[in-house]
Amino acid sequence: MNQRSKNTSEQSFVDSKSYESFKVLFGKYFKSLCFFAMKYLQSMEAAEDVVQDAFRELWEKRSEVRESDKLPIYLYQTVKNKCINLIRKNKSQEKYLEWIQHNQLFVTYEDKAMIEAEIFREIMFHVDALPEKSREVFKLSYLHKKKEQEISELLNVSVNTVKTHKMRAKKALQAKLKHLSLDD
Amino acid sequence: MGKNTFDKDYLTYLISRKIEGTIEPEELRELNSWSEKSEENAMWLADFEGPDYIRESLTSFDSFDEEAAWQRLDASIVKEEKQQPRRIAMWIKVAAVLVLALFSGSTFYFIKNTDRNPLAGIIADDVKPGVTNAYLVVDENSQISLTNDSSRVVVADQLIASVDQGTLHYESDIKQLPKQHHRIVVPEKSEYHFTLPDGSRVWLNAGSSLEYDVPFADSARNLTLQGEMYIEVQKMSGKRMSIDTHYGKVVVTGTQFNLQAYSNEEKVVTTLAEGSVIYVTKTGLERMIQPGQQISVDKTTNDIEVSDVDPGMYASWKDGRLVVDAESLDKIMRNLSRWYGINYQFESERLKDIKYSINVEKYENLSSILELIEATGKVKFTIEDNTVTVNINNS
Repeated sequence: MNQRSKNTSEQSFVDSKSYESFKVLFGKYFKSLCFFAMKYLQSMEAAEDVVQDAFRELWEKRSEVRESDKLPIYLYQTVKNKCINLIRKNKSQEKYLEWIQHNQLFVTYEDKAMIEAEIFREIMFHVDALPEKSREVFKLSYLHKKKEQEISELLNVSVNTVKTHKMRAKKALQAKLKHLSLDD
Repeated sequence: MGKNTFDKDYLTYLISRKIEGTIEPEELRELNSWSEKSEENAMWLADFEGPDYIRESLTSFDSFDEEAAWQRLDASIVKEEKQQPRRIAMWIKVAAVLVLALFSGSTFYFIKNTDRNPLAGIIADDVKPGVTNAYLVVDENSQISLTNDSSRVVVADQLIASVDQGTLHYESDIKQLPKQHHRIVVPEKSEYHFTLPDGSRVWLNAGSSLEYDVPFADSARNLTLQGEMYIEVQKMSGKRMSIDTHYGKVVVTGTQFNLQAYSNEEKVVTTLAEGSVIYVTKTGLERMIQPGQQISVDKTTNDIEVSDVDPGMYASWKDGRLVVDAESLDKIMRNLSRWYGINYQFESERLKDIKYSINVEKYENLSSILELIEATGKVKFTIEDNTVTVNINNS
């Protein structure tokens, strides 16, 4: 995984096996694992269920977990296996399986999905680090393509405030993500 | 990775560094030469260059409900006793069930013990929980079961809706058909989940009904609710949804929220999980709320109160749990009476104001929930003839 996010939360889980460290781990990987699962499944609900299941399993098997470095890969692979099992159970998705086979082209499909999940986790990490209001404004404008006027109504603040938060978010993010195009 | 030039950690690292603009010239050369190895590689990297791919991926990335998933997970795992003072923990194989008594300011956590049943003997008739159950009233004159898989709704020889695997589905092409009035009724001791003609997903809680005309009008989707529902509204451009509660209405576009408007509750409570809603009071006042906010409107005074809440908690009933946070026993009993179809009475008025926080599986017999409340030592229950009496605990 990325160098910056040195596996401190993984390490602390491996060391303590505590409920708190488990919760931190869940917060760190939940969305990226869901995103990853969506590369196999077509329903967000199913993806969330599969990820939840993988975490339940991790919790149950926590005494066996020794190497923090392998924890993310273990999670991704558990999720992948669960997705494949789900697809197998559902015969109507046979064609989807074929499609997966065809997509094992350069790195495997799995690798590509995992890389994306990790990259987007990195980017979201920076977004989530923004101050609350700026983050809200950024998500509404950049992710949900809302107009400034709409955002101002949604958040019950003036259009100028929206503009300020938008600029602040953009500036803060561009400092971290120079190559990310943030224009609407 | 073997067959690949890079392992995926390194590739992840390179691409992230590129997006961050911190990639070293040497690293960039490596990435570029990897990209030149195949058209597939190059195309995939090019995806990250354009604004839309990242934007769309992040939108999807951010749409998963971590909070709600954690709550479900948290409730299903067996935890070890946490090192905190004044906590009594007992162990069982099933999920943790906890009752937190706020009455004296002290906090007890109980983990339900299935082998023990102190209420046995006191309870003449235990009460089973509600089930999936509803019926549809068409044009206020015919009634159709919504749990029976052979149920069909036909108008002008055309099928508009049918029940499949215990849930109602509307046909997709019903726009040209004559208008019909549909009223979905979920009696006490029941709950129901189905999909509206526009694709919006609805959960109706015990003792509720939802009515509307099908097909929906071109300009608007108008619903009338009595009781409680959770809805994930399908976004349709230029087509708002309006939900009338008899005490005010909620106007939305695409959003997810819980709306409670029981006739025997004092307030109409709207809790927003996603998107935005506008609440319009009977007197015409409009108020918009954001995700994570709750608006409660007093039905008699029309007083409005907006507060920050955990929306997952207010939606937990649709996921099979009964969760309340520091609610009065009076309100809790009203809730239980709808789900278990019971009557109830208090031995003393003052018992009504005792506050409890509860987080339990709602598919258990009533006694198991009452037992947990009893364990706090403040009250005792008796159940007889489907009536629960809340008694002062004298022991």
